[in-house]
Amino acid sequence: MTPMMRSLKNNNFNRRIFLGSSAYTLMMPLSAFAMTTDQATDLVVRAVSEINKVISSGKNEQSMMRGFEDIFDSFGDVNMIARYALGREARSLPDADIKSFTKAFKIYVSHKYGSRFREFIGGQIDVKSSRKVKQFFEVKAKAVIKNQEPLELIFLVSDKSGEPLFFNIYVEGINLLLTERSEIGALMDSNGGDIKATIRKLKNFF
Amino acid sequence: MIYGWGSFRLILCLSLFLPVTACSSLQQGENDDPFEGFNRKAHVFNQTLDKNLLRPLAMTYARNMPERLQFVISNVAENLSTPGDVANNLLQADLESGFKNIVKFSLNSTLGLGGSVRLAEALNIQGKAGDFGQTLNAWGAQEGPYVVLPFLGPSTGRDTFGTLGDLTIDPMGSVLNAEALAFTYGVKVADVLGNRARFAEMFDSVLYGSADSYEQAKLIYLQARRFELNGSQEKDYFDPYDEIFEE
Repeated sequence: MTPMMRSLKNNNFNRRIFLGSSAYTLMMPLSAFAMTTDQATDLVVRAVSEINKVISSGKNEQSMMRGFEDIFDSFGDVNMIARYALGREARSLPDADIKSFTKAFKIYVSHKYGSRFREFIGGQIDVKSSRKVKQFFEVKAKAVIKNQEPLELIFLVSDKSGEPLFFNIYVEGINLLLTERSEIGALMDSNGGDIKATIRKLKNFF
Repeated sequence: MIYGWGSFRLILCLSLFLPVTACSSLQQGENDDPFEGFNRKAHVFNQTLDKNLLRPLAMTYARNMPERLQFVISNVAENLSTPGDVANNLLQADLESGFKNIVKFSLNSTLGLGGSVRLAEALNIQGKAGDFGQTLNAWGAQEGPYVVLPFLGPSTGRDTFGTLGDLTIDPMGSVLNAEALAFTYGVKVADVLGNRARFAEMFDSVLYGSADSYEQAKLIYLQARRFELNGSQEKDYFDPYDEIFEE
């Protein structure tokens, strides 16, 4: 099930205040801030345990990447992350394009970050702390890797999609949203602003 | 590095510090890249250098040098950089790290067989690593503009002065004779090759797999360096939902 479908299902009645006309904003409830630090921690603990399972599974690269894809899909706000990466260009695009972009982007990001996580083979990620920051939650984790200094991972979690999901990851200070917005922007530029060509490029990235 | 360790070095460093503060009092925003034209040329130069020299050498090194020996070389390189750490610890008045690093260096250089065994680390004796860019940061110098240095790669105004400062203050430069210095450089070069090979997938994906490798390298370097200097900062967090909901 996609997060979008899940968030639709989870919406309770008083949250159904629709904001706009595009498919994405239509799905977005204007949630009251009801989430707790424990819920944020719980989400990341579950995500990290799934990541640990994949890296210790010893499976081949292809099935590992599918594993990372599922994790990104279940615990991350993929729709928002994809839309943010597209930047302001997303506003003028038809919903169908955004949908197929999101699908290609999900696979691209899962592979890109999955191959980083794959380097943690023989290592372990542990959740260390969580706290509320601004309008969301910061959950810090540590990746302990053989023969290497431990790495700091930070998940930012919000329920603005309708349920608790992570919307950004910082690996040793480098964050996914900013880095991918720049990269997708450059990819769009190199394809003359053509979203369909960009989607094709993303699909053939790995 | 060939001069003796004298007080004029400190004066030189301090005079280096002044222009850094002066030239970086301009507020630098995330997208502010005043040297982009020069930087992009330097980036292409470095990319060519990597593609034709560094990367092939690194791959040959990693293939032919036994892994255990690579590990020893990386330890020795780490040990050789410890006196520089101490100098910077002391310049930042971090006496605890300075002391720990002196003990670490003494222990690893002797019982640790010239640094090949990380004995002190195993005993949990380890101060913070230091570089002169970090010292300038501790002294309050601003980051300055993003700079790509030919041969050396991404840097900032502050870190460019830092790199120069490190060449000047590294105590190894004044105590080692020419042969020992040549050995030191050899080990450091081997360590660079080892690292290039070890993180090959990551380097390659940024340098050769990105739509705009200049922008990616810049973003990643600046974020990583800020994290290295100041840790994760709440002020760097942003709420993307604000922008999405805005629509």
